[in-house]
Amino acid sequence: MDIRPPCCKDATLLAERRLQNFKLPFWDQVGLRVHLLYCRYCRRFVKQSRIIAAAAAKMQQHESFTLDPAVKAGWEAAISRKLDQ
Amino acid sequence: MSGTALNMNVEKANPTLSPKDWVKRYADDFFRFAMTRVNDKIIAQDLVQDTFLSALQAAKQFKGESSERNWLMAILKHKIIDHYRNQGKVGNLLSLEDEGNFFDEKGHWRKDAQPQRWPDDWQTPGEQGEFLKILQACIHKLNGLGQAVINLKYIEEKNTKEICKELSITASNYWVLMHRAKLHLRSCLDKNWLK
Repeated sequence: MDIRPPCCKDATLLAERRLQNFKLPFWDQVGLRVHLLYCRYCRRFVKQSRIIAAAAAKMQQHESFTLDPAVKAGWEAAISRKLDQ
Repeated sequence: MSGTALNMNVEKANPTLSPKDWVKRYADDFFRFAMTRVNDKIIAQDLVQDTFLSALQAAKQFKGESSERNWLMAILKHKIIDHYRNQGKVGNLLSLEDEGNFFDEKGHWRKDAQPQRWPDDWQTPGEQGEFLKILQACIHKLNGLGQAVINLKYIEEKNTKEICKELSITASNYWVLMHRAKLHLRSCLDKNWLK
């Protein structure tokens, strides 16, 4: 068994799973903890990933996804044409 | 009473569609549904339009086993998945190269990709508006599946299982996509929000 702590790439992936409430296998959990002890970049990644998640959830659909009435009229016309064929 | 029963029987035997009402009934909802998944107005419109036109062509196959709405929705979902697949062929979505932008061959952060410290004040009212605006723009820059996993997870609040099912991806695909999306978003915020 490889007991070296994971590299940054693997650690950030593990951290992402943990952020989304997935229980990690025991040794992965230990590895991630050890890695985060000495790697400030991954600590930042974890913190910022959490911020992104919270912000994205807050964002909701603040863009209004509305259809142009002209587009809808065009579709209605296309459907009628097909039906008349 | 007997009238209702009769109607139900007729409906079962002759399931009917009313294509003339589709746009009025479903267009807005379907468009919104497609937008959260592809994040592109033109593509979303094309998908909805294609859905209606393919449905007309396939109208004979409608057996009335599901409601008209669910039947159309199933067609739309297929169109969206096809769209991701086609995009995948072009952009090679699940290749491993992408992480190479962030990590070296040993899996350590590349120097220019190391996460920068963020100020603690991102949640103060003025700063938050700016942050959300940039985050939105960064989400738009993700590829189709990347946007889809982020939108489905955080905006539609679906769980991993539902997202995998909807996008026809495996759980490990999901984690790769989510990890990659977060790497991109974080780095995009470093570049555009921290100045």
